[in-house]
Amino acid sequence: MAPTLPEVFRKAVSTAAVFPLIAFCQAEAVKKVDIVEQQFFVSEQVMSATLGSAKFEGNEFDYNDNWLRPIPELTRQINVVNELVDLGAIVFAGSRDVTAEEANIMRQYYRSKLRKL
Amino acid sequence: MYLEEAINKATIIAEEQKADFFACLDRLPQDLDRWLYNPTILEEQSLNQGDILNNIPICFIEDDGDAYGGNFTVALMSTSCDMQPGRLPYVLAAPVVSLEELTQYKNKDTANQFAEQIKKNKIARYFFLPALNGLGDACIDFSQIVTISSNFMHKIKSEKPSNCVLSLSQKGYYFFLVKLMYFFARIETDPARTAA
Repeated sequence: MAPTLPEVFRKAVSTAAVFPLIAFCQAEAVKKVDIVEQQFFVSEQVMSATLGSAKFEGNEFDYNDNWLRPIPELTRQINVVNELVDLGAIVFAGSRDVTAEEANIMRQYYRSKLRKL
Repeated sequence: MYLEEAINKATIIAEEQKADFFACLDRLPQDLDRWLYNPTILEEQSLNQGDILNNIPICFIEDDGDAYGGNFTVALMSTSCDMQPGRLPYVLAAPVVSLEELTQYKNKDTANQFAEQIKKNKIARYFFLPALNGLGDACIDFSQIVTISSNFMHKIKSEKPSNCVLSLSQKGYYFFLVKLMYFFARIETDPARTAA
């Protein structure tokens, strides 16, 4: 079954967060990591096809000549992208928690640097 | 899920490379200063995303509704293309916070732990900047972004080049983007929510 438009769109948007992760992983600092270069290319195709040239019918994605990959392949690639997003979130995102103490520290820090204009 | 567990479960990383990958990420920020920054300031006439500039006036609106200002070291957050002359009138900038000064507000028992968390980029809103070019260990505070006139920033870059202390390397730039995107992005897990 073809993925719905919102689903594909959501995956494609997630892809945007993945580009630099892939690029970073390919960079010298982690050059031993074997992330297939083609994944970057295919992810770009997913983004392009989804946001650019593809046509929509109702709530379903109507893949036609503009689709560069058949759906099963696309789905597989989307799963790869999802895995990268999840991995990236763990590796790079860090905690979003803000304790009352930390908020107070930031307030004190900035107030020590600022004066009323 | 913890880092090691996530890496072990990842199908996209070659099995034989997982240990190296984990080791490389685990030892951050060791060696970070070797690859995070560009050896020189990028293009003297251009503003580039991630550039670090000293002594820039910024202001915030405080609880009483009044503006409070001061001079800060800032990191440019706008995309480089949006900061080209004749593009957007304002650029986004985030203050760069001194780790030494910030940890002064923590008690002694937790100050070191707090600094280590920042250095390992374990806190989403901070991007760690290792000391270089007169900048001590510091971090970009993504949660305090302000806008500054683009013309003013170009003037600083051309007339006060000594204020431009650091540019990110290509690899550093990617690293910066990853942190920035994960700071702003929320990954949805339920497609039905977006379909509603």
